[in-house]
Amino acid sequence: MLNSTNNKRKTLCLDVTWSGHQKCKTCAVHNAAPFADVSDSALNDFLQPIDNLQFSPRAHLFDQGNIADNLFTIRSGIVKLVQIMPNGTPRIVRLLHAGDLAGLEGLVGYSHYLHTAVAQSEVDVCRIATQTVHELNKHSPKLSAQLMLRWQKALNEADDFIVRLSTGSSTARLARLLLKLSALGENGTFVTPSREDIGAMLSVTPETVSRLMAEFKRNGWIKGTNSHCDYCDHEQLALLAMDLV
Amino acid sequence: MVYSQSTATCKPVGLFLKYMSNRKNKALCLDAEWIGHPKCETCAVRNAMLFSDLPNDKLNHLLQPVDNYHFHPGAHLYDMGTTGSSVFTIRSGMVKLEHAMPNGALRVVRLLHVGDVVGLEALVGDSYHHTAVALSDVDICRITVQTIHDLDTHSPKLHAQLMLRWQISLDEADDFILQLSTGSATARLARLLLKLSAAGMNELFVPPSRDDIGAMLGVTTETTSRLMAEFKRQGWVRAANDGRLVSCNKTQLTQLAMDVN
Repeated sequence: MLNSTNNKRKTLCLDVTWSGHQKCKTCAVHNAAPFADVSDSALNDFLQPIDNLQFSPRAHLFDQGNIADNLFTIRSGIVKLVQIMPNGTPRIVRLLHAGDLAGLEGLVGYSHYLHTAVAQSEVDVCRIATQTVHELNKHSPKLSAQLMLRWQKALNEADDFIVRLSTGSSTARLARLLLKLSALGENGTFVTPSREDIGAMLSVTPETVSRLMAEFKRNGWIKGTNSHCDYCDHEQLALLAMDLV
Repeated sequence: MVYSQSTATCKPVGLFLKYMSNRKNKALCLDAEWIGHPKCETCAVRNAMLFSDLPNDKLNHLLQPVDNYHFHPGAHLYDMGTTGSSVFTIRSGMVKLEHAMPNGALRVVRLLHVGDVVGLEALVGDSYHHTAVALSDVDICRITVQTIHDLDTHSPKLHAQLMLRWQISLDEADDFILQLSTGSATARLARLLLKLSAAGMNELFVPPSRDDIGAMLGVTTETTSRLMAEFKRQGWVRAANDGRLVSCNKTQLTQLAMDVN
């Protein structure tokens, strides 16, 4: 985890000369600007605590049960939200990507994070204290609208996990996950999650995942290495996703 | 899990009774004489507005369009894909949110009850993502998106309340992933029964249909029937006094919910 900023004069959000500024376009907080009734210098003070951080794959942004005092806006990469079942089994409940917010629960008075957020790839995030968000909220009517939109997106993603990844045969679930990852990836290629992670997303055993992945490869529905998928047969996967058999 | 019995019991939108008031100018939310008034205590919208600094007549004007409705079991509050023009706050009863799969199967993605708000997606301009169906007799207030937007400009508290309801929906969605869609069918059923028992009166509840349970757990109706029969045979679920209500052996169900075998 690297803190790339030692910029104390100008907050990153307002610094157009910052090399990372391009990615600000997807940020809920950034998009809520302009902030009415706030002078630029006051805004600069408000936004000062915002930190830009990089996480390597498998690094934790926060852990389930930690004090929920920061909101994370994802600028690039994929973050998984994990919850541990009482019997010790991890279950992945969402995949978050550019523009999504992690730790929303902290904004509505939850004292602790509900999930563990883990970087699934190289991840670029901004960390914003929930207190800062509350301050900003007073000055921008647009921020609430942006936040509601992100809440709804989180809800859509949760629904996707119920309706697509936790319903029907394990073959259909895997096909749907691969289509989802392909849509999120670059040119349809993507880093394949581990067997354990796929199992935790689909609620099936890692053994089942191994068997199915081998079958998918044998049939030519996906191509690539163990860690990277270079090609998906979208037509075939869409057919399997229908779960008609 | 096929699109079968449950459709027969789902009446089209329209099978509801609207609260007929003889009020002239008073918004329901502010009418202390209205017989349904005590249930307003759980309402996110009313609570946020009561503590706003608005003068009473202004507030009355803004809240005027809020309407109260009763839905019978099986009636639809709204259908998936239709234009989202209102949100609904639940005053009593239980509502399921249902998603139709491309192959025709139905999947229940949330159970909502007193104090919850359904149809939140309408506030961000989306059409309804689900079909909302009354599971029991349901008492509800319908608030148009326009009213929410009007109220919104006058009360910062409403935002906070709405965001909280969004988070509560998200918690319920997580519950469906973690508790109802993970592990053995036995563990899932045990967790659902514990959940219904916690939401019920005196821990008694009317069990949902086999189709509904299947759609909540992502298992077939046949599996549900087999498991419910087994749970009853073992005495883990028992009929209570009037026949429709059931009670649970919580200790045993908690054990099964751990899914350690």
